[in-house]
Amino acid sequence: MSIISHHDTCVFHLRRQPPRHFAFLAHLLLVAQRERERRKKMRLIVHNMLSCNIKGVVNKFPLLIEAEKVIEKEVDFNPDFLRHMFAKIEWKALVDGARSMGYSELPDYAPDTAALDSDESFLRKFHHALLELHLDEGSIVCPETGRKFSVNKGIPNMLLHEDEV
Amino acid sequence: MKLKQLEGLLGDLEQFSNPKVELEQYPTGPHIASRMLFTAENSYGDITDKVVADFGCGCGTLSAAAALLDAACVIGYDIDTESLETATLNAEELEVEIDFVQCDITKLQLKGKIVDTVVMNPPFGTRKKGADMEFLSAAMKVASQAVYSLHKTSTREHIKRAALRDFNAKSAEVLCELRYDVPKLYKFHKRKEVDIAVDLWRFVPKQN
Repeated sequence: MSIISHHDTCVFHLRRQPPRHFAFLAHLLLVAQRERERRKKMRLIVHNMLSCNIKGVVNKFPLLIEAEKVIEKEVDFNPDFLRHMFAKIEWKALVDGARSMGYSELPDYAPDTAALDSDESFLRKFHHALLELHLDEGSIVCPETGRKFSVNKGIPNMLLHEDEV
Repeated sequence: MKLKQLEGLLGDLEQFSNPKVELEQYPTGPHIASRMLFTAENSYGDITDKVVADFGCGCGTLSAAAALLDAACVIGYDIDTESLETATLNAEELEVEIDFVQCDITKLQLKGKIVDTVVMNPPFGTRKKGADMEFLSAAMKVASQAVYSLHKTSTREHIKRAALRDFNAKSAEVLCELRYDVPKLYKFHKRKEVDIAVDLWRFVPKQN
C-alpha cells in the first residue's frame, strides 16, 4: 500500500529550464497525474454509511477496508460542518477505517463534544480522516461473510449477485 | 451563484450516450435541475454545507448542481456503470468533488442519518411499475432533513398519500409544476419530443 500526495509531481515545474528529454518525462508524469486525479475515490464519510446488504446477514457494519492504494487530497476545512457531522458519525468505524488506510492519529474513543470547540488539532485530524483520505483501489469486506465488494477507480460496487438478494 | 449561471453550467454536461430503457434513463435537463437545486438552497437552506445524496444519479446533473451550490459532500448512487463513468467525467469537467457508489437503490440500506438531503429524478415507474415508490421509500429512510424529487403530476394524490401514510413523512408538498421535455430517445417514441407535466416535491421526514 502506498500513500501518494497529489502534490508530488509538481517538483518538475519548479525547476528552471529543464532539459528537453526531462520536459517530455514531465509531460508523461503530468498526464499520469491527471489520470489519477480524475479517478473518483471512496472517502470514509461514504464508508461510514455503507453496510453489507446480503440477505440474512446480521453483523453487516462496518465493512472492513482492504486498501491497495490510498490517496490524500486537500479539502477546505469547515469546522461547522465537522461539528454537525460529529454527532452522526459512527466513531469506531471511522477510526478503524482510517487505520486500515494507514492513518492512526484519531483517538480510539470519541472525545467529549467540548473538544469540538476547544481543540482545533482534534478537528483537523477528524477532518483529514473523514474527507481527505481516499481509497483508490482495494475492497470493502463484509465482517460476517467475508464477501468482498471491490472499489474500482474509487467507486465501491455494492451490487449483489442473484443468490445474495 | 445565480440561477442563470447554474443553468448555463449544467447545460454543458454530457448526457446518456446509450440510454437504457429498462432503467428509464432520461436526462434531467438543465432548466429543471437548476430550479430544483436553487429552490432547495434559496428557500430552505438544504444544500450549502450539507451532505447531499443523489439517488439514481445517472449522468450526475443533480449531483453537479448540488456541488456547484457548495454542498459539503455530494454522493451519487446509480446501478449503471456507463452512467457513473459519464458522471465522473462531468464532475471532472466542472472541477467539483462528487463521490459515487454503484448499487441498486431499492436494495440499499444506508446506515445512520449522515445524509441531510436527498435530491433525485427517479424512474417514473412507467416501465417497471412502482419503481418511483421504491426510490421514494429509500430516500425517506436516508434523509434527515428533506427529500426533493420529481414525479408525474398525474400521480400527485397517490404520492402524497403514500408519503404520509407509508414513508414516515411529516409533510409532503408540491413546490411547483414543471414541464419535463422528453426528447425522442427510444425506438418506441413516436413523436419527436413530448412535454410531460411533473411536480417538484419536497418531503420532510419525521424525526426519529
